[in-house]
Amino acid sequence: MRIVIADDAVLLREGAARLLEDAGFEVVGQAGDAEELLRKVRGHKPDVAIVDIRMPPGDGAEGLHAALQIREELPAVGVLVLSQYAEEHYVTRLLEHGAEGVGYLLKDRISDVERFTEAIRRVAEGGSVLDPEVVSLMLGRKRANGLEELTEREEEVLGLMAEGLTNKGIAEQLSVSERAVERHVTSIFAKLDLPAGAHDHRRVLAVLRYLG
Amino acid sequence: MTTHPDSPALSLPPELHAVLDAALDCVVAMGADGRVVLFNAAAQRTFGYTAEQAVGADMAELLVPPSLRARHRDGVARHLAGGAPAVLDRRIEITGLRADGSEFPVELTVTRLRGAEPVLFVAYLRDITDRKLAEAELKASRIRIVEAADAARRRIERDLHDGAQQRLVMLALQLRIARGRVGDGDESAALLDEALAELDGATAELRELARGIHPAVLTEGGLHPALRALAARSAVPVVLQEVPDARFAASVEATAYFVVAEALTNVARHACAERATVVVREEAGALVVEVRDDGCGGAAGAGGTGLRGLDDRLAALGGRLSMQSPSGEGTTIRAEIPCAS
Ligand SMILES: Nc1ncnc2c1ncn2[C@@H]1O[C@H](COP(=O)(O)OP(=O)(O)OP(=O)(O)O)[C@@H](O)[C@H]1O
Ligand SMILES: [Mg+2]
Repeated sequence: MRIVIADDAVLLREGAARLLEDAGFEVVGQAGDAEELLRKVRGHKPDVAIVDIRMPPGDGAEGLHAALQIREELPAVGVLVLSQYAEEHYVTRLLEHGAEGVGYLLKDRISDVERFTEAIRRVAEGGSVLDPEVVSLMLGRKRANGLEELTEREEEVLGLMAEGLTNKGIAEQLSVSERAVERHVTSIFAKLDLPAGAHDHRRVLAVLRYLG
Repeated sequence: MTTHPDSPALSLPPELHAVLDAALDCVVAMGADGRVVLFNAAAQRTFGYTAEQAVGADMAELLVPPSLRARHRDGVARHLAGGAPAVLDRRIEITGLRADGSEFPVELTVTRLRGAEPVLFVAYLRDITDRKLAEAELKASRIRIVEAADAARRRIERDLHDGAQQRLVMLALQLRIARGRVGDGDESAALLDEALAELDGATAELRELARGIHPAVLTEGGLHPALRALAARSAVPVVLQEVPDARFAASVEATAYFVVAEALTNVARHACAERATVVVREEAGALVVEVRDDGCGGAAGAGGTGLRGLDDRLAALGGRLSMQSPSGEGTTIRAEIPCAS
């Protein structure tokens, strides 16, 4: 799988690149700012572009703008945005034109190599990945508007669901049976009044639409 | 000043002239016809006329800027016709006119000398140019202090983001690589796992600290997303009833943000509330921020540094902060932040 990675923090970028190579990915390009990123993505047409949200020259969300541009120009390229902050605003903007092949993760998730590489694969396949922390924040805000309380376990399951995990993946992560996860998922969908039967990466979208 | 019989000057004993000339304030008197009859030394220095030039001249022509003359004459006429004295015996601030045509701020009080026949108005004035400049400078410097503090907060957040936060991610990466090379049975494994858990905690704490210092999303996205994020993090459920999508000056947005942040922190700490409601709206040149809770109320308002700091910040920007907190009926914090948008 071919990757372009962009981050202005050189050490971190190179560390992540090495980690990805070790995990069997091919890092075909590295970029230190948004412009370089766009150039390399256009040139290499990678499977996934991993993009730090905050890069020079600006002081805001240059990476996000670049990510949105990639989505528009090259819809086949998956985009995984990394941010120091779980910021709903950025997630909403990132997903404005669809959630296929998009992800948003906190930067420190890089170090959990297995989950990180799993997330990259899901984005490459056209799935979506959302940091559980963002989901829990969105839930927090919804609660004030009379959301039926989810149990702690259900919130956990919802977070992993948003991260794009399958029931099987969630079961492994939580060390419970797949049947147990199914029960939680059914209960979550009922409480949130979500259309049942939305599966795999499409259910991330369903959850998002509900929380947005 | 002379007291020549056919001069228009007020006839006063020389000692009294000496007394008036020693005063720091300008003393100017005029009769019912609007002509100057007395012009002391301070008035001569301030306005740039000699007593000979001033006495006998039309007061309005001499000392009142053209744009204010009509109003001045109307006022005198209305008063002489028996109308209520609009400007008499009060301190007022107005603009004066010097001999060289320049205008300057004055404070003055005008009195009608009781029992004087014919009618005599006496004005006491002083040039307040220096005070006005000092006031303007003070105001500007208070605004600059607030802006500098905001800029410093932005810089600290930026430095944490590019520095310590990145380093912690690097550190986690390295620790995990090390952990991967250590078998589960190894005694270092447990140590590394503990270190990683500790690091996770530190990373999360630093993240919240950095965003508390100055949320990057406020600079980039404005009040709406920043307040949504604040509401999502609040321990007490928050309803954002109304928040404008428009952008305002950085100091206005930061002030609104910190008002809501402090108010919500207070709700969580002091109010025992079920819910808080936030309303931000633009009203007559001000951004009005209101945070209500349904808690215990009865806040004395003094004691802490939170509200005091906000009060200072608002005063510096020419706005104000008020709190209503009847016992048992919840608390409302309201801030008005001037914003010329
Ligand atoms: N929403 C509220 N409900 C009830 N009491 C409140 C509320 N907000 C403030 N108070 C009272 O007003 C006092 C002053 O608040 P202020 O924010 O200035 O200080 P503080 O929160 O005690 O300390 P800090 O300096 O950390 O902010 C509080 O100590 C509290 O007693
Ligand atoms: Mg407080």
